[in-house]
Amino acid sequence: MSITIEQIDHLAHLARLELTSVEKKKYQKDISAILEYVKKIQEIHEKTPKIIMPTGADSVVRADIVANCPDDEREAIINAFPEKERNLNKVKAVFE
Amino acid sequence: MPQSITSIHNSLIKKQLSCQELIKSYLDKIKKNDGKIHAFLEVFGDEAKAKAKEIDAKIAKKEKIGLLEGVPIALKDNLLYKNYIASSGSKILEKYVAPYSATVVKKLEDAEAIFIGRANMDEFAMGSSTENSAYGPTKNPHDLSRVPGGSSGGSAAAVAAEMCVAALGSDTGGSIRQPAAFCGIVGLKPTYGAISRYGLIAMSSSLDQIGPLAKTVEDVEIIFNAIKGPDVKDATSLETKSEKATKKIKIGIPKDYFVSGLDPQIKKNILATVEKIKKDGAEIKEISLPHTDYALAAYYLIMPAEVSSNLARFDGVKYGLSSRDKAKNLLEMYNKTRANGFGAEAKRRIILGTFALSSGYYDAYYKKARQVQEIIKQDFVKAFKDVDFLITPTTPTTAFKLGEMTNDPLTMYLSDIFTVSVNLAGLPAISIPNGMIDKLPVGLQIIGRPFEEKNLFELGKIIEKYAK
Repeated sequence: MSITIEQIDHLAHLARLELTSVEKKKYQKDISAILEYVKKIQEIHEKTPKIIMPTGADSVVRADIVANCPDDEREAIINAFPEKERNLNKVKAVFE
Repeated sequence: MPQSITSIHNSLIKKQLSCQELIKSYLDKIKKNDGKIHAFLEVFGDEAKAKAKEIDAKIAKKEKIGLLEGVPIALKDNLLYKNYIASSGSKILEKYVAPYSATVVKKLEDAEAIFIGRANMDEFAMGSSTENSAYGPTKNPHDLSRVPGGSSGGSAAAVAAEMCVAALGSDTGGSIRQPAAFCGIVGLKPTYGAISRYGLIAMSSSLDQIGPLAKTVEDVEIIFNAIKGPDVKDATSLETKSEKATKKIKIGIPKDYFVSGLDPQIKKNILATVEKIKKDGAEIKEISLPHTDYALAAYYLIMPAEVSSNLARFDGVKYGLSSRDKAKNLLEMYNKTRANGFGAEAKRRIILGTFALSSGYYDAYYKKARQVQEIIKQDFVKAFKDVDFLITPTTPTTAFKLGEMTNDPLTMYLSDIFTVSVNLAGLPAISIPNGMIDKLPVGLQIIGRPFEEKNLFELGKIIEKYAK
C-alpha cells in the first residue's frame, strides 16, 4: 500500500509534528515501503486464540492511598518546567 | 586487573586491590579509548572516585561489603538516575535532569555499585546501530568502521572495551541481545514483568524490558538477581516463580530461523555448537515456529503504535525542549517543539504508529498485528510443551558497517528478525558469544520459558565454555 502526501500531512497534524516538504517526501517513500512489507500480516486468516499473558499475569490493583512526593523531587519537577511563575507551569493560552 | 564481579569482590576484600585503584583503571581506559568508541555520553568520574574512596574506608574498617559493592556499571541513557541527565539519546531531553531514580538504579545504588557513566543509545531506543543517537554514533570496539548494534550500543561497546564491568540496557525488539552479539558479550532480555520498568523512559510499554549486559553469564546473572522482582510502582512487574532446574534437557532448533537471509557461516557456527551440546547429552529436536515470518511485520505495527502514544508526552509543556519563543499559539508550540526535538527515526515511527492507529486503518493494521502477536505467542506455548529451550542465531549477520543501512530503514529493521518474536511473546532470552567469523563476534540466542532465567544461565554457562 502506498501513502499520499495528503495522508502524511494529516498524520503529521494528528501527531502534532511539523514536517518540511523534504521530510514529507522522504516519509511518504519510507512509510509506503514499510507498509508494503507489514501488510503480509493480512495473509493470516486463522482464528485468533484467546488472548493470554504468557506470564499468567492478571489485572493488578493497589489500594487507593495518597503517596506524597518527596520535597526534593517536587522541586526538581518544578525546576524542569520550561517557563514558570512561582511554582506554576506557564503555557501559552489554550483558548484564544 | 580482575574483571568478573566475583574476582573483583574477592580482590577487594583480600585487599589485593583498592576500590580507588579499580575505578581509576576503568576511568583511565575510558579516557584512553572512548574518544574513538564514543560509548559514553557522560562519565561520572568525580562521583565514582568519591564513592570508591568511601568503599575503601569501609574495607579498611573491616566492614562487610556486598558482592556488587564498588563494581563499575554503565547506565543506558534512558534510565533515570536522580539529579543526572537522562536524554534517551534525544535532543528533546538534552538538558532533562531526572527528578528520581529508576527502581533498577535504586536497587544497584542500594547494592553500592558505582555508576561510571551514561551510555549512548539510539534515540528513544529506536534503532539497531546507535546511528540514530542525536549525539553521534558509537563504534564497535572490534572494528571501529562497524556499528556496535543497538539500541543499547553504548552499553555493549562499553562492556566489550572493558570501560565498565557491566551495563544496563533495555530491549524492546532485540536492543540488548543484538548489540551483545555484535560486540561479543552476554546480554539478557528478561521475561516481561521480571524487572520493574519504573524510571525507564518508555518506548513501547508492552514490549520494553530492562536487562544486564556483561562479559560472562555469571555476571549477567548476578546483576539480574540484584534488579529483579515486583515493584508497586510498575503494575506489570511480578514475583519470579520458583525455577526448577532441568535434568535431561531438550533443546528445540526452530527451522524457521535457519532460512535464507541468515549468513551461512553463522548457521554453521551455531549448528556446530548445537552438536557439542548434543554430545554432552542434551536431546536436540528440530521444531517449527510457523508464524516466525510474520513477527517482524506485527512488531513494526505494534511498536510504532505505542511509540506514537508514548512520545506524545514530549510536547514542550512540562519538561525538555520547548520551542515556544517563535510560536504564535499552543498548537504551533507543540508542532515546532516536536519538529526541532525529534530525530528522523523518531518522526518516522511516530507517523507510522499514528497511521496504524488511525481511523479506517486501525482494524487492518494495529488490531490485526495484535491478533498475529497472539498467534506467535501460541507457537511458543506449543514449542515449550515439547522442549525446554530454543536455540537460534541472535542476528542474521555479524556487525555491519557504519552508514551501510542508514538510508534504508526497512533493511535496518530486518536485523532484528531473530529477536523480535521473543518480545512479542514476553519470553526471556539471552545472547551468548559463540566465536568469531572474520574477526567479528557471533551471538547465539537461547530462548526459555517465562521466568526460567535461571535455566537460561545454566545452559548459557555450558555454551560459554565451548567458545573459550
